Amino acid sequence: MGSLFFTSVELGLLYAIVVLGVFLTFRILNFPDLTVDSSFVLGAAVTTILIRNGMPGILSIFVGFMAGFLGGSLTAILHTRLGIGKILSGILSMSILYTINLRLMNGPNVSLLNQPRIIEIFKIPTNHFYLTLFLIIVVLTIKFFIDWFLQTEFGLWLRATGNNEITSQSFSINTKLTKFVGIGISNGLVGLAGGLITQYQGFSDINMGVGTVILSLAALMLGEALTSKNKIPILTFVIVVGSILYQLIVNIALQLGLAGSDLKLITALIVIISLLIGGKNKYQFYEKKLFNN
Amino acid sequence: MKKNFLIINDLTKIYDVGTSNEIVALKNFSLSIKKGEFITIVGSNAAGKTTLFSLINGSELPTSGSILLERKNLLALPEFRRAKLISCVRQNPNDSVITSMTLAENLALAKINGRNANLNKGVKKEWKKEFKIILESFHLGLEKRLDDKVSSLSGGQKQIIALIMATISKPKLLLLDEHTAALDPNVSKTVLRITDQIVKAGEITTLMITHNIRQAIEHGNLLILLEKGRIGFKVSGIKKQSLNIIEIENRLENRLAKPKNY
Amino acid sequence: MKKIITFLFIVIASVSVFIFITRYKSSNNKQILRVGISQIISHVGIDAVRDGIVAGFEAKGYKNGENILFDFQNAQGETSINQAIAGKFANSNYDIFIPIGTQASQALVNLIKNKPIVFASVTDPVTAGLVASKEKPGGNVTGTSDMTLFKEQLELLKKFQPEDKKIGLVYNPSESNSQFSLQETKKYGAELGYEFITVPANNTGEVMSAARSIVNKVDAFYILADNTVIAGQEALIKVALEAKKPVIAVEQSGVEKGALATIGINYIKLGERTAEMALNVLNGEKPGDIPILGVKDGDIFINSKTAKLLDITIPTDLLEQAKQIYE
Repeated sequence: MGSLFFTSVELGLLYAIVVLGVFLTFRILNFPDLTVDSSFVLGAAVTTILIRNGMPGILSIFVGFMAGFLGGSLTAILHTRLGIGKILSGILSMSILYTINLRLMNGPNVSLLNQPRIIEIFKIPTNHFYLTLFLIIVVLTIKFFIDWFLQTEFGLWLRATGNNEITSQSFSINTKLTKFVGIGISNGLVGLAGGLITQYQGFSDINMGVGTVILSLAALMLGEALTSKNKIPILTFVIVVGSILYQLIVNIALQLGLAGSDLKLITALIVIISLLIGGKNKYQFYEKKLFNN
Repeated sequence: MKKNFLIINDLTKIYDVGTSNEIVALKNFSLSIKKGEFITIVGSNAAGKTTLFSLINGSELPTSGSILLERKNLLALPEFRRAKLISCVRQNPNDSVITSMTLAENLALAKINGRNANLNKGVKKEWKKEFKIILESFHLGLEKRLDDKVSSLSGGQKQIIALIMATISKPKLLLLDEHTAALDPNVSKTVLRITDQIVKAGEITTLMITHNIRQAIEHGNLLILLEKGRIGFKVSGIKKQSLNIIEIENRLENRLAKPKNY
Repeated sequence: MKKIITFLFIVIASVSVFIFITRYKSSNNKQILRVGISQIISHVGIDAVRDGIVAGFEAKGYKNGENILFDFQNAQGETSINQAIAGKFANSNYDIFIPIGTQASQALVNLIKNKPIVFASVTDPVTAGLVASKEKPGGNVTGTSDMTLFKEQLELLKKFQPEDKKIGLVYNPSESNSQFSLQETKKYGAELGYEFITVPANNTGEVMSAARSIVNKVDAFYILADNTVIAGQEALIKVALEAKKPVIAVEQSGVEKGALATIGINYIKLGERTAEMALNVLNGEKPGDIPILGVKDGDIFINSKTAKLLDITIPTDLLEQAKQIYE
């Protein structure tokens, strides 16, 4: 029974990496990035192929990140160089990557069940402790990296770009570059998570990314509802908590006998309740509305 | 001092050339400015004030004419390169600052303006001290709010921050585009007082567009009236101080009543 | 502050309910059989398998709610839910697990090592990593597989037009699944005396021109179990019919769209056979020793309008056996 709690925490931590990535694009850069569903699979696919060819599982952290970053770069280029709108760029990228993923995996599904994966070291499902500890370290490292990065000069550039592109340009901020790096890192994190999750579950599947954006937004909003503070280090912390809470709620619902079909409704409810409890004056979106009147 | 800091020669901007919608926004506009001058510009709505600014800062290119800044051809530089030399403060306080970041972070962004951002900490300790000193000089208590988000400031306070941001890296030219138009009269007074203070301290060559004739008379050393894309008249010195507001307003209104003709 | 307290309260309340429920569930009657059934998504074929499993248990006297309890789970196409379901099953006290389809099975096999798993309808369980080999799976896992009925479908063509010799095959060279279909088709076809003419199509749009390029060199077409070709099958069928050549489809929808006939896997029967296998395991057989069962129960589908167009008389025995005749 306790193991079920751990499963939620583990999945919560794994998906927290995705949520941190989504935070970078949706909140900081103000770029609703839909590439996520495919860059997630890209990280998984590349990881799977390399593991089957002998790569040690732990290297998936770098490999998955690089793969995801490339996926994000595609979106950034479509948007900044070809002038395609934010949402459409994400959708186009997602479609292109879908085909690439299929080719990489040479089919819709690749098994990792009999391959040496990093997860084995942690001997789940019987012993969750070490795996949870490992994941906490990975997630915290990523969180602190983001906190630090957004306080650097380039980080200020990135945040300015997300708030007001025109004003940013009047301060000679290279908004093409900031978007490229921001969307790249965000999808890099998503790919990294894909690489870890594919080892966790034992296989890669072409459809394993479906619903990732929505899940991340729900977890993101759940986390944001926990605080009224707007400081970045606090936000990155609460969204990790939000991801874990989200998985806990999903697991509880399953235990209570709710079917998988009801879980989509629950996700929507979580988003609604979070928006109600969270209060309005937090997001740039609302700020702009209030102060432009 | 020779008037060759900023030389605008025969600047013309025509929209939709040759069509029935053709609009002549600026016609053979010429002006020579010496370093450190503070010029106020007034004119009715279609007079060409905003066009003049957008040609100077690079958001638009002229149909003909030239602009030389310190004898270099300004028109050869694209907008983002001009941003290093020319700073603007606009009318909408929310367009001049980054509302989601703190005062200190905004000022740091202004200090970074003109070079590539690196991975060092954005708001450095020494910079923060510098910002504190600058803010203290205005006696408005802003130095206590360095770590507050700019969104929590009033319109007037935002414009003051915008002014500091625009001048912190000593631009060659400062363009003020009706920067107090959206503020209450009292707040406008304060912002203009600070404007004078900053411009004087940095000896910054400044062009200010305003709809408020009194402001145009009371601030700056040269007043230009733009009418239909040309200079109506220029006044400086004592003559400027003794200008009659009513006269100027009438002149602007009269011109509005008369039909267009070139 | 208030918000944090509200949330903490909700979390603590949920966790308590959670603990209570799991305690309650595990202290139940030991006599009743508990079976966990999971699927990745809802879909006609998968749902039919599930119904077949329930029917199979019922046929042997096990009625849901009386002497057996089924826990039906559906991941709604979401990986994280699929994983959560696997976690739930792994931490349960169920007696046996019946996952339907590849992804549901992989997630379970990943976590459950000491309870039996009998999967249903996994096309290639060895490549999916579920078992060591089809003949001797080896561990705690076995199950049923739904391979395409290549031989049976080709034999069907012989029944309609025994004189046909050359069969046209369109395929997508970059789909690994279709490589396998191509190989198997050629193998069985050779046994039946057929010669194959193959032509590649890299995407759905190319299917029509690919078909056109060989339509005059063949006597009939066979639609491979290839996603690209199936997606473009309407175009292929049109080309063939214009040249009065019959098409054997690989599943029901093809016949609906104008192919002459096919034998499609009866997924309900597959479910029933899986249930039989599961009961054998529950009665003591070791899953590792039970070879994977390739289910061949098929339903015949015929399109009589097409038959008329091609001037083909449908053999009476086929007419009688047919599950559905399209007009």
